[in-house]
This record gives sequence, C-alpha cells and structure tokens, in this order.
Amino acid sequence: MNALPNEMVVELRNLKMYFPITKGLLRHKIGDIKAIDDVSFKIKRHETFGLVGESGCGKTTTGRCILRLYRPTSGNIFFQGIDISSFSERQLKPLRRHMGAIFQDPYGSLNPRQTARMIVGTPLLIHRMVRKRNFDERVAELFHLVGLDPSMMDRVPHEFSGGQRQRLGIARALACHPSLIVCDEPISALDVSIQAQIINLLEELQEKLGLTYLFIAHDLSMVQHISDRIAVMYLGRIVEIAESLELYENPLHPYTKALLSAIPIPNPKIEKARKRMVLKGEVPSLLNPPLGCYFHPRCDFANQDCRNEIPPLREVHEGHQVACFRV
Amino acid sequence: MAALLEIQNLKTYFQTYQGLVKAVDGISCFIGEREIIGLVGESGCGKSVSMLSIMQLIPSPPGQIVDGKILFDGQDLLQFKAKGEEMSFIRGGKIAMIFQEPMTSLNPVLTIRRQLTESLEVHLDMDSFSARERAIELLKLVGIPDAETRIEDYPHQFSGGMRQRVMIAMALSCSPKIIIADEPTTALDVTTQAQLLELMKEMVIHFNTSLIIVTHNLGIVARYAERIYVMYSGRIIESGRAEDIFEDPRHPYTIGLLNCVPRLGETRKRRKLVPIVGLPPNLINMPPFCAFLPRCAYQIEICKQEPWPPLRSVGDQHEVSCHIDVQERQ
Repeated sequence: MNALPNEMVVELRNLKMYFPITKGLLRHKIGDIKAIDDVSFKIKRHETFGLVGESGCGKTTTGRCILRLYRPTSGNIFFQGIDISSFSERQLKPLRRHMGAIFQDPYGSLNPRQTARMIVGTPLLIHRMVRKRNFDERVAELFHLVGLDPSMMDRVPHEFSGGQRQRLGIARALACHPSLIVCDEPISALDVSIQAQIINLLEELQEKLGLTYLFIAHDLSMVQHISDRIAVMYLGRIVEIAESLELYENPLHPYTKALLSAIPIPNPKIEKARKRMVLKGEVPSLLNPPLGCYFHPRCDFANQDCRNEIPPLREVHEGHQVACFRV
Repeated sequence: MAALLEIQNLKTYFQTYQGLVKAVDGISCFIGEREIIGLVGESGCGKSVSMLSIMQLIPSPPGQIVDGKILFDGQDLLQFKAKGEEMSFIRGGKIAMIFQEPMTSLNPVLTIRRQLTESLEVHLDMDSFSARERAIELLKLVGIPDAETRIEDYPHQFSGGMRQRVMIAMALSCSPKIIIADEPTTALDVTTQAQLLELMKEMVIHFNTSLIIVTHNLGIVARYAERIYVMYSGRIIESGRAEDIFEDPRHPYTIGLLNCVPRLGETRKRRKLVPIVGLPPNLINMPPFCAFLPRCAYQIEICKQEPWPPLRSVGDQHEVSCHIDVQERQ
C-alpha cells in the first residue's frame, strides 16, 4: 500500500513551533511561547516511537506538527522522504490519507450527531477511496478489524462505551490505509481493564497492517510497554532518546530518572524497597523559561555550565542520545 | 487493631428513571488508627459513593443510604441527620476529605485564606487573626513557598499541584482522625503525583491520622497502603494485606487487574498484556449472580446458579468473595 518506499516514515530536523503571545487591543506580539524548540528525531517504518513528558512539554504539538495541523515556525518535517513542512493544504491533501490520528478523549473527538458509519466512513469519501456501492462493505470491514459489531453502524457515539468509542476512533484512523498513525494519549481516558484491550488491539493492527505509530502519552509504563524507542520531552525539548528497554535499564538524563522513579510499581515488596527520587519544585513556565538547561533548577547535578548553556542532544552510545552536560 | 472507623453492610442506592442503581451494595470494612488503607476499583464501582456515604454527602434524592452502620468513635454516623450539627462537626473536623479535581473543589471567587480559615474558625473556634497564622503555618507545612503572601491569592493563581497542596492543608487544618483522599492525584502529572503522595504520607505520620486512599492505580496502593479493599460493581470482592493481594490474589478480577497493567522493564516482547474481556456491568437492575461472571475466565456452573457469594476467609486478614478456589484451578 505504501507507494513511497523509505526506511524513515517521519524525520524531524530542528523543528521549532512558536506560538505568539499577543497583548492589547491591537494584539501586537510581545513574545513567543516556544512549544517545540529544536526537536529532531526519526521514526522508522513499522516501529512504535513513544513520546513521553508531562503536560505542557510539547508532545501533542509535536504530533500535530507531524500531521501538519500546524505550520511549524522553522525546521523540516520529512514524511516518507518528502519535506512537508511548508506544503499548502492542497499539496497536503493527497498525503493526508497516509497519516491517521487517534485522540485522547473518546467523547470529544467523535461528532455526537454523526452515526458510527459516517464517522468511520467520511475519510473514505473525502479521499475517494471507495465506490458508493462498496461503502458499507468497507465500513463493515473496518468495524470487524477493530472488534466492533457492524450491526452497530447506525448508532451515534453516546450509545457506545468509552472503549468502544476509542475503537471507532481507531477504525476511522485506519480507513484510508495509512502508514503512520499518531496516537495522542489514546488510553488515558479509559478504565484500567479497558486500556489493555486497546493496547493489544493497537499491537495486533500494527502486525497485521504494518503500521508505524507515534505513541504520545504521559504514562511511562504504558509507553515503555508498547514502544520500540522512546523520546523524553521536557519544556519543548527532547532530553533523551533510547530504545525502550535501554531507557528503563540505563536512564541517563536526571529527568528521565525522576520520571521512572515517580511511577509506582504494582508490587508492594519492590515498592517498599525502592528509593524514590522526588523532584523538587514545579515545571517552569514556558513564558519565562530558565537560562541554560531548562531542567537545571530542579536538577541535583547542575553546575555552572548547566546554568549558562543549553546542552545539545548528543549520542552517548549507539542509539542512545541524551541532552545533558553531566552524563 | 482497634477499628477507628467501621463500615458495616453499607448500602447506598440511587433511584433513576431507568431503574434502581445499587451503587454500594453491602460493603463492610474498617480502618485502624494511624493506618493507610487503599480502596481500589474501576470507575463506577462505587468507591467514591461509599466514601461520600461516610460523610453523608450523597445527594438525596436520587441517592439514599438504605442500610448499614458507620461506626466512628462508638457512634453510628448514620443516626445523625445529613444536615445536622453533629455531622457538620464530624465533617472536616474529625473526618476530612481530599477530592480529585483541585480546580472544582476550591471556590474560585474566594481567596485561599478565606477557604482555609473557615474550617478553623468553625471547628476550632479560632479568631480570624490566629486562624490566619495557623493557615500560613499549614501552607508552609505542605510546601507552599512564600506562604504569607500567597495566602491572599485566588485558586486560579496556583498550579494544579499547588492547589492540591492547598487541599491537603485544608484537610489537615483541624487535625482530623481520618483523611479520605478520593483519587487525589489522578488529574496530575506523574512527578507531581509522586511529590504529593510522599507529602501525604509524611503528613499522616506527622498528624497521627489515618488515611483512606481511593484510586484506580494499583501502583499507588502497592506503595502506600497497608491493607487493600478491591471493589467491583458496588461490592468488596477481595480484601487483605497489600502483600497478599499483590502476591497471592484470589479473586479472578484482582488477578485480571494485575495482569492487564504494564510493568516497567517489561516490553511487549517480554510479556503481552492480558486484558479482562468485556465491559464493567451496567449497575441498573443487576441480576443476583456474581457481577463479574460475564467477564470471568474461571467461571463454573455454580456461579450461574448461586447468588453472589459472601466474603470468606482464605488466610490471615485475607478475604475473597468467589465460589471458586483460584489456587486450586491453577
């Protein structure tokens, strides 16, 4: 299905996304919110790339830039080898069907007045992927794919449970045979026992359809479970990229270490023996970020260098990049 | 251990147009002095309703506590009127509550000082000056920097984590015997969550308070709770010491819950998640059988014939409500 054979599905080079801060009646610009500041990474075909960080760190903005829902301030976005960072809507449209998106809120992301058939089927109509007489058949196929009963096609979203709605969202994302799916916190609104169902479904679909995922979440344990590689973001910058297990076994950035230690493990024996590294302070505001390394006010290892300069992302060993002077 | 608070066969029902919802259907539990217990379950299992029942904060109608006893300090709290003086004395004074949403549980148009000093003035009869002093002291204790000036701020000037710290200060203000924390950190980031939970644990020790943590996060209870109650569709289906629940779970639902959460250091190549099939039941007009039956992997004939089994002991302080002996089956 993928017309463009390329090892890298997505490549970001020095991507920056600034949002202007305006003031007063004339809305003149007084500054920038640097939602993403100099982010570079690659997503390989058929892999799951996890993006973790706390709220406000720019992970959703990164996902939206890749989908080109935003036009980035500067930097390049390569999608299957093509630089789409300054494409117009018209140039983007033929590419849109190769990318899908699943959103966090299964209540807000579905139109409450549309039937499930139209929710899942609209992308097919927009991209003229199917003839009218085959429409129902294809929608039913998608329903089967995500484990929904096609007899529910004429229902509206409120008649579905949270997990079922998320399945609808997945079916919609899959409709046009995409190669990349951006999953933006797809499970955080669901109950624990339903989360595993959706995760397993995503894994099965990836195997069956050869999908590539960008998996955005704040729950590191779930990201770690599903991802092949993980990037950790803090205040608009990537602080560490590593293979999933490597990141767990050998975290290098102090922020990654703190994130890992903040996650409680469901085992009382391990938990009670574990030493916890509790971060001091709060995430600084993007309106007024600290000088130097953004993490230094909360970091126990910070020295003079960290206060003056922003550490670049550098490769420490094969496939493990970190942005810290003190590693 | 002497029980500080004991709930006996509590039943809270809601009358809706679709039918009767047995949100809490006969739960019994207790909490000892200076103990931290965990109440675990998915959304809609009745964990919040049972806690609100203790405080008599159930909106009525449609809700009603139809049966049961809540024994605290030798008195049955359900004997008191919800809006009576005795209950007001208990609420906030003896049993305090921390809610999930720090934004909605603080009043946006009143300063932090007004909200913090109110309970001090009401419960401890302080004058406004000493109440303010005490409030500043509390804010410092929960780690709010610059407490003297920030006390005059409004809730929107605080971040989510800071608001929840204010809520903790508020709960602690009258040195209650028990603090009920209803999903205290769900809306917050993981690092903030860790900060707040450590703070709560510290405060509980500092103030000699008992703590009930209501949550759906198994990791949190594993770290903090000494004993755990697992709830499913309005009932407690398993209870015991934390180690027993996690290492030797006896109810198929508890086993399922533990199998469907990912663990750090285990990628999907090492272990696939085992989800619990199906959906949590709709609580309207439930059949008399075990509510977990449609999702249970262990079910046998007797489950479809006999009513929901009562809790039976399977070990020291370890009780389970199931017809099946899971250990035998494995």
